[in-house]
Amino acid sequence: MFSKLTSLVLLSTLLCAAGCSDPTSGGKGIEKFTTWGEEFIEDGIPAGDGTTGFVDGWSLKYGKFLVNYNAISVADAAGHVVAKLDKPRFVDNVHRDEKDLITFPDLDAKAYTQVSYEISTAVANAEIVGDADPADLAMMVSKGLSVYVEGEASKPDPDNAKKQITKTFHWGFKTQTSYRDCHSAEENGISTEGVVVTNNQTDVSQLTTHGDHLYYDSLQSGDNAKPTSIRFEEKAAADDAPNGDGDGEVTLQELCQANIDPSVYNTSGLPGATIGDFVISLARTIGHFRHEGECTIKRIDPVPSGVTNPCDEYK
Amino acid sequence: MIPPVPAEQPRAIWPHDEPRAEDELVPVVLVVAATGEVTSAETESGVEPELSVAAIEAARRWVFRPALKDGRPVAAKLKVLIRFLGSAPNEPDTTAPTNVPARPPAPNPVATTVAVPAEQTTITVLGTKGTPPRSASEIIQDKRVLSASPHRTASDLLLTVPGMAITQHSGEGAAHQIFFRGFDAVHGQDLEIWAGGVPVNDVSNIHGQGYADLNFLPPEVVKRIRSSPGTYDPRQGDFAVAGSLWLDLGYDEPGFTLSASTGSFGARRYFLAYHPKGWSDATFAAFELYSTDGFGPARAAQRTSAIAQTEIPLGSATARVMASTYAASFDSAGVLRLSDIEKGSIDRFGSYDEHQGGDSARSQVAVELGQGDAESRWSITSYAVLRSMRLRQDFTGYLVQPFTGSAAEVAAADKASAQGNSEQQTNDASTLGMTAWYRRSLPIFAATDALEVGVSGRYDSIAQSQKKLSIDTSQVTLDEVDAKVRASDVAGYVDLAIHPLSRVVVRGGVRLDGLAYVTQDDGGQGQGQRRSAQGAHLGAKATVDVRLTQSAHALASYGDGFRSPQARSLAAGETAPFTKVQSYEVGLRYQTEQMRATASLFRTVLSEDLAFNQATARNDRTPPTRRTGVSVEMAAHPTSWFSAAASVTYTRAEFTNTDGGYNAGDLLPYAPQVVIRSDLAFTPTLGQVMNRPITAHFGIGQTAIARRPLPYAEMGHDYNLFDVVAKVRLREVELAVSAFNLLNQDWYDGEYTFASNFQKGAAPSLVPQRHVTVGAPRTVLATLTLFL
Amino acid sequence: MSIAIIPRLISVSALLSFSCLAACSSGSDASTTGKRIALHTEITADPVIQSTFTTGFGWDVTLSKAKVATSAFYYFDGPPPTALFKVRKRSIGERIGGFFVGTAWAHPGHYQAGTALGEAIFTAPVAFDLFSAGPVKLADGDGVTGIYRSARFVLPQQAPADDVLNGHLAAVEGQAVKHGQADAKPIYFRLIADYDDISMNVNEGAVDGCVLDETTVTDDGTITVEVKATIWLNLVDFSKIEPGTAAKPTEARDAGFSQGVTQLSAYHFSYSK
Repeated sequence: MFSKLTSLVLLSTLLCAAGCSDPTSGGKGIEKFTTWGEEFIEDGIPAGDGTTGFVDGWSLKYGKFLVNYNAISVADAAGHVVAKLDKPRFVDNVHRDEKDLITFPDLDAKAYTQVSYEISTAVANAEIVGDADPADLAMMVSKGLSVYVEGEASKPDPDNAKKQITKTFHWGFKTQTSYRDCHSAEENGISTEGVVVTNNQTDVSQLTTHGDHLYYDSLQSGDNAKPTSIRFEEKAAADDAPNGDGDGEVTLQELCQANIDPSVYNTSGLPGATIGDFVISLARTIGHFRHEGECTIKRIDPVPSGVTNPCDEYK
Repeated sequence: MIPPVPAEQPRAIWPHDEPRAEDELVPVVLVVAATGEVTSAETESGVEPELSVAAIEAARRWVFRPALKDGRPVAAKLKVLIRFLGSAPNEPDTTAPTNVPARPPAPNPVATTVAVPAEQTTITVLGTKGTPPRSASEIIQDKRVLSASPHRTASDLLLTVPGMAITQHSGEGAAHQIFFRGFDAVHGQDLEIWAGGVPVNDVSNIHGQGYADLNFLPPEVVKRIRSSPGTYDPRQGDFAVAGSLWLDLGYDEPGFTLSASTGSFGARRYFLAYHPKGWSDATFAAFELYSTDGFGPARAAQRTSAIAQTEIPLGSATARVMASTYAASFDSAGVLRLSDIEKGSIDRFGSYDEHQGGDSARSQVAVELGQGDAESRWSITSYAVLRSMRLRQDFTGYLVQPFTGSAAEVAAADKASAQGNSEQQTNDASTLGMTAWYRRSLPIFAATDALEVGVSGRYDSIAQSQKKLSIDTSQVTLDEVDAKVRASDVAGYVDLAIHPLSRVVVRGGVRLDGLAYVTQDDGGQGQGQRRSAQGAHLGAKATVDVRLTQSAHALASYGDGFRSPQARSLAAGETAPFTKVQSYEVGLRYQTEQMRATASLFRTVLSEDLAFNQATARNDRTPPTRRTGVSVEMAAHPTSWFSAAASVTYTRAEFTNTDGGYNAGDLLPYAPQVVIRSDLAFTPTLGQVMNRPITAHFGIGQTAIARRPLPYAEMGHDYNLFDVVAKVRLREVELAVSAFNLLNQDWYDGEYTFASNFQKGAAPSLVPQRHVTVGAPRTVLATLTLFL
Repeated sequence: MSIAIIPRLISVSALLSFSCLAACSSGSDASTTGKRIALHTEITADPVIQSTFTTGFGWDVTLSKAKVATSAFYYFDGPPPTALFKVRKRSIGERIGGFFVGTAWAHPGHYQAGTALGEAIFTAPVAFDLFSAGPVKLADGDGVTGIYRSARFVLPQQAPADDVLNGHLAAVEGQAVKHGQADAKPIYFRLIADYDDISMNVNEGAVDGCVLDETTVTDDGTITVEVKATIWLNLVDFSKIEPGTAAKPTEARDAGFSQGVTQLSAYHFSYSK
């Protein structure tokens, strides 16, 4: 027969074990955010069938692809924010390979379904990531830009196969966009909301920039009657007379003067009537999540009074 | 040599007919003649003289099946234990197999022995006192209640459980949707069901987590249902959110039973069974073949099942073996839009898509071994189950549903929807598992204190798929899911019962569950990538039981439980998130030999919940919820010719937080708030014909539900249905007539709110509307039975 | 002993019936989330077309006739993908802390309609004259409570009988002059669009993602849709159209017009009590 004391100790240990500790907690892990421009930004966009490359014979190479990332945030389903970016990160995704933006150590191992970030106006105290040029950051800050691309596009001259028609471009965008409720693309039939941190492991979320989105011929990437292709011909033509000055550089101003052709571009949802309005609208779509995953996109900055079209802000 | 087996064990009567508080056990040595009569009975020295005399008197009245040596009856000597029942209320027998041969016709187990060959001197008494109730509303519905009113399937038997309502939306062979105490347990997601020691719930079934198809059991072979609402018992594991049900199998009509039935809508049923005389009712076999044309188009169904079980002594232990096979195929009419029925554009019993239906199969084997006495007892059960299920259903017709994914995926889904959202789901599973426990007295405060430790494990290997089919051509239009899941569920528990005061029992325990899932998704973009996830849950349970008077108890209970997620919803390496369930209950129990009445107040709180979201057409996470209710029930058999059972349960299920579109205080949709059930049976002896008594059985079962909340501040239709049966039996022949829905009421079985479009080409209505499955009209069944 | 059970039976049944009465009559006012509401429907036109207006491509257009057919409207809780929309009026605290001030844009991308909250389905397609005197009442619709944010304008497969539409889904007649060349010869036009034309841009005639001024709808009310013919003509290059005469304008199909008729910003929905 157990002594009453031993038995009471046994009983209270059992009860305490039940109430006091939770042997079922999942441990802690690490969440790392990186960015990458993919081959389209690092190596360029070739001519192709519309999704693998330009459908109109052009090919393009980026010289710079500057992005200012901000406000990376990780929160659980209940909305508790467990990690937040300290200050903006400035990257040039033309430089090769995945670059680290920030690492959040020591997060409870579980699913965090509310992951968000922003691409916003560059600020002087942004941390420079990798080999990005500080002079580029200063330029973005002085012009109030959040995204800046420059490069060269060319296609074989239809009149002379041995020659190439070349256009350069230097486009700075002031668009400020938030990307919320990010979810991964479907893997194995399931699209994951946010991230899942696992015990004693590092999970990597890549904020991928898609360099081909500026050239889409439709604003909606959803269920379109006509498949979406990437085009450069109309942008190149904006530089030619009578619309442009024919100097071989396609400027945003020239794009903002060129009427868009609704038989080529699906203009549903476009405020404005020019190719410039179209490209500026598309600049908000370059931010993605974990390669092909998407987020809910929202404009952050208020619309100045008197502005009706995107191009109006660049006058 | 096969030892003598008791056939009749009349109850032991206390000296001077004065029962004492506690039970008394008296060992008696008997000699059983080759005729089966007891020719000599002796007690050991040291037993109280009065008790000794009473014990011998009781033993002499016993009748045995004589010992057999080389097939010939011989005399044998054996030692038995005569139990005098204490006046403390008899606790219901709760372990799955109880090795009590030929129990006398009383509602609670009384005499408790198994004879052993004269050569042996060990005494084996098995499973006699099972685990006592963990809450005021934990009850056992025994054969008397289960056979009072007519039942077509074992799922129908669930209606006798207080607080339970069932509906059918997929055809007569599919698992029912179960509502219990404010929970929409869907097909078994929140209700743990065991039958014959084998789990019935399918883990991660693609149609619904915990899908529990009880159609493999002919209703006649269920001898007892123990209902354990809440999560107060450490023996309750996965799926026990609203509660658990344990079904014991047995058939007590001695000899052979041959039965044939015919009835409305082309119903035919053939039933065969046997139960050898002299053996406990746990030894039996049964066969059933049933088919019907259905009460409307696309409602034909057929099923066959065979089940056999035996309980035999194995040395000093007892073994139970059970095996069964079942197969069914059924058509389903699916749902109808309520507005179409009310407008008259479709007949109540019509169907939009007559290709719906499915099939189901189940084969299983279970072996149980147990041994022990009142002091110490152990048991081990191992089982294997093979299950397969296919369902084809069409809830939304040609509706183009919002679909997330890449442009190509959205386009494919829309193209598929244009041909119809007919959905085919298949789920094939193999299950291996075991449960084992050891219980021993552990005197701390009193001699009757006991400790029990149990372990259980279950492994499921599942292959499942979901495809969209064209409504017209039945060709696959979209491959949505093609997955293999390996699920493991391992648990251990400790349960302590102590008696700190003479009137107070405290039962408490701790249970640890570890669940692991390995999922391989071959469908969609995944090319067979595997992912695994695991999680563990620790739950504390406690019950305080205070004996107020000889027959009345007051109980207060608390328990931690969990709801496990669908395996496919877990990401790689994710710590499986379990919904935390906390149950509280206080109540009163009143129990005598002839009557049981309980009243209880209960509350269950969930850390988050799931509700069917009409927009996504699946169960989505909702804010935390709280269910509060009251349950009053009783079962009585004051005379041998009358028995009654009735229950009323009221539950209010509401959200406790405001989030995601739901407001705190809003009701949860779908589970009915009021569930009423009554079962009455009159079994008079009508007279005598040719020196043989004519017995009759008139039974009536009533099920009523009221206040079913539906989305958008609506309430579903209430119903109040009556099923009756009239049987007349002259010795070996019985004629019975049953009528289900006697008053031929128009009623709606299931009611749901979601958007659908069943007219191709018309501008669809996208706003969620009410859809119903129509309840069966009056169905009559006439049965002729021979008992040989 | 069995006689003694009867009083106990009686008291238990009394208890049962009492609980039943209590339960069944418990008229609590709690209910599930949301409720069904009735939605009246009105259609109106942007009054700007009553006089001459300038398009995005730089043409001064004066319309004489404009009609469009529709068969249904649907209202959703998903935010519209792009275009100007008025955010629901926030409190001053929200406006200071929030991002939107008055008119604002959301963003292009992948429009997700979300849940359908309301609808108005017309048993026969309706032809709406943009030059009607005031808002035209259409058949009532219905819906449920929730936050309404976007809408779908459905163009039917079969046009209703109408002498202006003449079998087409949308038709406009008028004259156009290049902006700044007031004395040039005007181009008299009649632009039409059919189901095949619009099927290049939308599926099954459904113009998705139209702006519905964000409102938390809690009660019956009216949904008003404003049709903006200016958007229809925004991207029409009139220099490609044969100039007709005032009496007999050239009937033409134009990609810009077909796209314009399916432009989500051509239809602006709003809710009022």
